[in-house]
Amino acid sequence: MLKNYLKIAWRNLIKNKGYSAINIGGLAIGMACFLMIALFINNELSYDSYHDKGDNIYRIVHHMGSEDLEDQWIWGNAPVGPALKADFSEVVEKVQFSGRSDVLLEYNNNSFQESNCFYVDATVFDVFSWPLVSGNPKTALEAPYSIVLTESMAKKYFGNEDPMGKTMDGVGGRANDGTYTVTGVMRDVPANSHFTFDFLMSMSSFYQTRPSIFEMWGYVDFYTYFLVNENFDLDAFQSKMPGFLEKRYPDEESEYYYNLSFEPLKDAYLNSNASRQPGITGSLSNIYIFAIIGLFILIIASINFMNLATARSMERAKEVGVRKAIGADKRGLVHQFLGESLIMVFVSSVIGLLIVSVCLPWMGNITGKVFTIKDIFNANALLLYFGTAIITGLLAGSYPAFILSSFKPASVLKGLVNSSQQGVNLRKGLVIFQFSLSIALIASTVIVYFQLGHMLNKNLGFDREQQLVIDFNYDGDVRENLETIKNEFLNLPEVVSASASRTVPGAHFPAAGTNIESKEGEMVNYDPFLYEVDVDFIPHYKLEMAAGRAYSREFPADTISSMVINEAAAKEFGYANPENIIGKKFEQWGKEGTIIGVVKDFNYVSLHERIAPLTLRFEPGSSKFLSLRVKSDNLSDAIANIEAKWADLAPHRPFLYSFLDDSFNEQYEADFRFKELFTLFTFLAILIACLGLFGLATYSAMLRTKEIGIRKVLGAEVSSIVKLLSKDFIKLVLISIVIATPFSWLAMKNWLDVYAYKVDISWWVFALAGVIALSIAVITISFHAIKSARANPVKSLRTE
Amino acid sequence: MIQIQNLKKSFRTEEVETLALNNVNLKVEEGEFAAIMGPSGCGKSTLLNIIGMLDNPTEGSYKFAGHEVGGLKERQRTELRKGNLGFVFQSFNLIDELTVFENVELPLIYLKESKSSRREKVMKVLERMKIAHREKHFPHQLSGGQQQRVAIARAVVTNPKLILADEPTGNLDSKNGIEVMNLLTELNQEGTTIVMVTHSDRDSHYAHRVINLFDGQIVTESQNRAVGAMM
Repeated sequence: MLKNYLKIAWRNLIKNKGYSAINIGGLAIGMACFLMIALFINNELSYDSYHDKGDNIYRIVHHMGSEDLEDQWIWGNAPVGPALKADFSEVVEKVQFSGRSDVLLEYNNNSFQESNCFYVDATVFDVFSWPLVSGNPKTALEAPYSIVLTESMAKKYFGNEDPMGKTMDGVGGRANDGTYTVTGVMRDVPANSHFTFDFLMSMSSFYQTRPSIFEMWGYVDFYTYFLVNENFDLDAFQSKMPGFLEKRYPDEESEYYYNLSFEPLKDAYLNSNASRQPGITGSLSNIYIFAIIGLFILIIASINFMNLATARSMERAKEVGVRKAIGADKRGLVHQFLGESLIMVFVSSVIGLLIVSVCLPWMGNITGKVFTIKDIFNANALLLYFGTAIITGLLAGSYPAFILSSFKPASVLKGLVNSSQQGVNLRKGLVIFQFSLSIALIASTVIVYFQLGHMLNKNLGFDREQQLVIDFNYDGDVRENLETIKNEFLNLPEVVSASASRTVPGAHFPAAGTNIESKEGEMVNYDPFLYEVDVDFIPHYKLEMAAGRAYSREFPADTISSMVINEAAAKEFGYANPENIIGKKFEQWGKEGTIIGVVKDFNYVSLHERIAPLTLRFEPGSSKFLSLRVKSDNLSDAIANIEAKWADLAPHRPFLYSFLDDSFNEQYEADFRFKELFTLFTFLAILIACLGLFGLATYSAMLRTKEIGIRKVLGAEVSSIVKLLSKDFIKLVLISIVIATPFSWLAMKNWLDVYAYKVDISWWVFALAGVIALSIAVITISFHAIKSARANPVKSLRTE
Repeated sequence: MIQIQNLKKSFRTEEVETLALNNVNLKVEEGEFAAIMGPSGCGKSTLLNIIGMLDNPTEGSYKFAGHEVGGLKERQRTELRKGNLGFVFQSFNLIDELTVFENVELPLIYLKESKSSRREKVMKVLERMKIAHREKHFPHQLSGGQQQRVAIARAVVTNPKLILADEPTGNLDSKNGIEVMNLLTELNQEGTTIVMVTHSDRDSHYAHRVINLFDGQIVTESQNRAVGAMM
C-alpha cells in the first residue's frame, strides 16, 4: 500500500510540475530560512558556553549614580576584586583584566600595533577554559612582562619558530615600554566569546608600573570576574554588598552612590544591560525578532502548501471517489495524503539543506560569524531540522488530507463536487494572514532602513567628513612634539586643519571625578565623561559654542586653569542656561580654574545613547590621536603624502589611520547586520507568499477558463477580464493592509525604543508597504490574468 | 441479494429539500441482471449509489445479502463493500496516475492480498478483458472502450457478488458499447448479479428486468424475455 501511495505521490509531483515547483520551492526556501535563523540563534545562544566552570563564573557590574541617573559599567576599579575574595569564602578565585590596551609589539624587526591586548591576573587559566598549547597555565602570567600569545599571533610573529622564551619589545599599553617574554601559547579564543583577544600580558607588569591604581576605588580600568563555589547563592551574596561596601569603600562625601551587582557569565553576551563592556554584546530582542521571522516564514510556506493542496483538491476528488468505491477507508486516505505532504516536505527539506550548505560562507559574511558544514550536519541540528520538517508536513498536510478524505464518493464520481464555500473562505483567510505578515515585514523593513539612514545622516553636531585620524597610541616622542608635527602637516596643501586629542568621537573615553561650583557657591561632585583635547579641537571639529568661548592661544591661562564642558554637563551641575555656568570654579584631577565655555551637545557616542555630560579638558599632553581634516580632491594622493610626512616625523611609529566617519559608523555594525538579515528574510518571506499567490491565481484562472471564454465571446475586453480575475485577490491584500498596520506599528515602536535618537513612524510607511505588497500581488496575478484573458475563447470553451 | 423497502432519500440545501427517492421498494435476486431506467434527475444514480453503499438512505430499509446496511457508518459500509461490490462508471473513473495493471490491482491491495496473488488475479482478468498487452499503459494512452474494459476488469478482479454499472456505455461508441455489454452479460451468466443504470433502450435489453423510475418512484417493472437478444 505504501508503495502505491509513494507511486501516486511521485507521479502527481511529476504531472503537476508547476505546482510541485511552487510548493517544493516555497517550502525549501522556507526551510532554508528556518535553518539559517536557527543556526544564527544557536550561535548567539552558544556564547561563553565552552568554559568548564562557566556555571560558577560571575562578573561585577559597577553601579554609579544618583536617584535620577544611574550608570552600570562592567569596567570598574581594581581593589574591589581582592576585597571580595578576601571577605567571602564563596569566592574561590578572582581574575581581573585591564581595559583593552593598544601595544606596539616588535619581534625581529617586525612590528605591529596590536589593539587586542589585556593585562590579566595569573589566575586566568584557572577560571576560564582557554587551553594553552605550550606553557604552564598556573605560572605563565605570574612574572612581570610575561606574555601569552594566541596561536594565530604566534604564527604572525614567529612563523614556524617556537616562541616560548623569546622576547618581544612592547611600546605603550598599561605597563609603559618593556620587553615581554613569551611564556605561553594558547589556542585562539573561540569566536563565540563575549570578548576576544590576541595577547594576554601579566597584570604584575601593570602593577609594577602603577601600583597605586590597584588601591584606588575611584580609578576605573578593570573588568573583574570571579569563580564561586557550589554553595554560592547570588541573592544572598548580593544582599551582603551594602555591608561589604560600608566596610571597604572609602568614606567620601558625595551625593552619588556606588553599588555592586553580579552577572553570571552565561548572561554576559545576551543579557547584560551594563555599558563599558570588554567586547561586543548581542541582542536578545534581535534573537526574538529573528525567531519570530523564522516562524513567520515557515507559516507562510505552510500556508502556500495548504492553499494549493485544498485548491487543487477537486482534481484529486475523482481519485478519492474511486478509492473509496473500491474499498479505501477514510483513515487510509488521510494517511495517504498526509504521507504525500510529508514526502513533499522531505524533498523540500533536503533542497533547503543544500541551499543552506551552499550559502554558509555568504551567511557568515552577513552575520559576521563563522559557520561550518559541521554546524548543520550534526545529530542535534539534523534532528531539529527534520523534526520541524515533519511537524510542518503534518500541520500543513492535515487540513488538505481531511478535506480530501471526507469527499463523498457518490458525489465526486458524478463530478458534483465543488470547492466548498468553507474551503474558499479558509483559503482567503490564509492569504490574508500571509499578506498581513508580508506587509508587516515590509513596513518594518522600511522603518529599519529609515532609522539606520537617520543614524548615518543625522547632524551629529561635529564635522565627521574628511577626517583622517592617526592613532599614535600616546607615543611619548609624538606627544612632546605635537605642535611641530601639527604645523608640519598644516604645511601640506591637502591638510586643512589639525588637532590632537586623547579621544575622537566614536572612540573610547574615560570619566573623571569633577567638582563644579553650584549656583549656591558650593562645589558639587559628579563624574562626567572626559575628552582631553588641544587648543584646536573645538574649531577643528566645528563644535558650536552655546555659551562662553573655546580654548584660544590668545589666553595662555587656558593651558592650566580653563575648562570647556557640554550643555548636558551644565545641566547636570544645575545650570539650565549655559551662560550662567561661565566663570564658575571647577576642580578635576588636580586641576583648578574656571569654566570658560559650553559647547552645544554633540553626539560623541552612537545614537543608541543619549548625550551625557562631558568635559573637554585642555590636556594635549595626554593625546593618543591626531585628527587631520583633508581636502577631498584626490584622497589617495593626500593619504600617500600624509603617510610620507608621518614617516619623516615619527619614523618609529607605524602609520595607523582611519577615517572618522568609517570608525564612527563601526558602532552601528550590529545595526547594519540586523538590517541586512532583516531585509533578506523579509524578501524571502514575500517571495514565498508571492509564490503561493501565483499558484492560487493560476488555479483560479484555470477554474474560470469557461467563464472567461463565454465573457470574451460576449464581447469582454482583456482589461475587464484581468480586472475580474484580480479583483478578489486585491480585496484580500487590502484587508491585509488594515490588519498588518497596527501590529507592525506596535512592533516597530518597541524596536525603536533602543535608540535614543529615532525616526518618527509616519502613516505613509504603512501606505507604502501596502502599495508595495499590492503591486507585487498585482504583478503576480496579472501574469495569469492577462494570459487567460488573451487566450482564444474557442479553445477555452472546448475544455468543457 | 438486495432487498429495499420504503426507501427515501432527500437532499437538503439551505432553501429547499428535494426528495430524490420516494418510497422505493425493490428486490434483486442473486444472479439477476437488472436495469434501472428513467429520465435525467429521476433518482437512478441516487438509487445505485445507495445500493452500492456509497450513500445512506434518509429513511427505509436496505438489506444486502441479509444484512441491514441502511444505518451503517461509513467505515462499516467500506468494510462490507470491499470484495462484495464492483463498480463500473460512465466516465470509467480510472486513476490517471496509475497504470492499467495498478488500477486493476488497487481493490486487491485494499483487501490486503499478497503480491503474487494480486499479480495472478490481475493478469487473469486483464487477459479475459483482452487488455493484458496494455498493462503498463496509463489511462490516457487508451481508447474509451479500452478504458472501460480496464474499469470492468477492476470491478470484477475481486470476484464480487454484485456489479453496479452506472451508464457503462454512456461515453462509448456503439461498437465499444456492445463489447462492454457483452462482457457484463458474460459475467452475469457466470453468476454475478448486475444492477445497471442506463439511458439506452438497447442496453436495457441485455437485462432480465427493467425497472423504470420517475420522480423518485418506481413506476413500472418489466421482464425481458429474450435476454441477450442483441448479442
